[in-house]
Amino acid sequence: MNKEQFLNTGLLEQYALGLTDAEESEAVEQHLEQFPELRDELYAMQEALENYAKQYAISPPDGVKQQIMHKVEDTAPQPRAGRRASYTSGMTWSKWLSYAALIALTLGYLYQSNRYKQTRQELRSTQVSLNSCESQNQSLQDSRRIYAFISDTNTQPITLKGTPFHADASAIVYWNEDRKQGYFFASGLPEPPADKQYQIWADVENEMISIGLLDYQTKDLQAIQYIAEATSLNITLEPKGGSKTPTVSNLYVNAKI
Amino acid sequence: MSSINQHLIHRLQSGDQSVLSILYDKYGDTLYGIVLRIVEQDDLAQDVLQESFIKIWKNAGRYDATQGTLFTWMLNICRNTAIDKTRSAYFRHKQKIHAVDKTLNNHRHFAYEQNTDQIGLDEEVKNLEEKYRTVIDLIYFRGFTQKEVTQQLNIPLGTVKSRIRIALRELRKQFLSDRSPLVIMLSLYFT
Repeated sequence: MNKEQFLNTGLLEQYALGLTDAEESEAVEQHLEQFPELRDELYAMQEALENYAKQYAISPPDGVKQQIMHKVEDTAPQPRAGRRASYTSGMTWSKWLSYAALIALTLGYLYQSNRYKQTRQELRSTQVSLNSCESQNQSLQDSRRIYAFISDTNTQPITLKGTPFHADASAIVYWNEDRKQGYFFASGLPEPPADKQYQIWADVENEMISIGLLDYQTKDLQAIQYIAEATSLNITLEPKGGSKTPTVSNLYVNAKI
Repeated sequence: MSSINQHLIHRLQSGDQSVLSILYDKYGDTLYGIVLRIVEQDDLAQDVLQESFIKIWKNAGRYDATQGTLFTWMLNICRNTAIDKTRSAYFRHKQKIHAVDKTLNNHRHFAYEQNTDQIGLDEEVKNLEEKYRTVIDLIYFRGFTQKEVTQQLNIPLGTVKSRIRIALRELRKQFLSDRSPLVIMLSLYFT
């Protein structure tokens, strides 16, 4: 009989309750020897019964325990059964084995969870440095593009000179007809007040068209809109966010193209 | 089988009296409750418990862990001692004097009250259907044979057997559901 067939007979349940006769008990014990995992089944059944039995617990009167312990002192226990001894050593051995397994499992778990934490930290810091690499790469590419733009023979540097009120101010715009691109560099403009911002305008048939708001803090070249028909470039100081039309009295620098 | 129990058994079998005290503290209430259900009289139940513990002490060497848990072995000793008492002339004599049912009911009521702090138990009693509970109680607590159960309840032997299986399956389920996997793991090793 295999394990499943044996479990289906219900003999183990009857054995757990002490209901089997001698022949049946022997059959059960043979199976317990053959399939040690059945012993866990047996214990599980008996422990469930024990748990069930607890509901009927009633405390005996106080004196009972003392009487028992008193009587026990005069009574020697009977010698142990031979079978028991070998089993005890077997169980002790398996007990130590199970302790060792538990400790090994716990250590393994701690080691793995530590490794996992470390790996996660490494991953996080790798992601941070990857992000910074990507942004560096981006700015490097920007610089290369600007460098290529400036070294293009078609790129024309236009120096915007200060108006009489702001004679010291100056700025440079790089203008490329071929690429239809414009870049601005705020080299010589005074720092604007916090609520003001420079705005650049292109003169197209006597109409001023905004081609960019300038970020004074940026040390790099800033892209501005290219307009082929522009005849002059003008930079005014405007309220932050820019204006729709230039404030002529705040004209700082300008240049003809 | 937990390893602390293994340890206790080993010490008990080596003649360590303090183990008997530990076992009494651990199982005395449960065993007394079961004995009282069989003999139905306080003084008799106390005698039975005392005799049983002496037997447990004397015969510890006969306990074989391969055949079941220590509690089951102890319960068998208590139950057999109690059943022997009910068959004695002394018992029959005393039974005439005592209004046994009243005593039993009082004690049962008392038992439930005492154990309300044991989480899950009340629920468990409700969860096991009456017909399964009756079979388990007759066999496990009163030492009935399956044949005696068929006569007592007037049901076929096959029904008794299948009720035993279902009852055990349900009790195991409820016992396990009370405990988280961690508790089970720890109890396997440390309780």
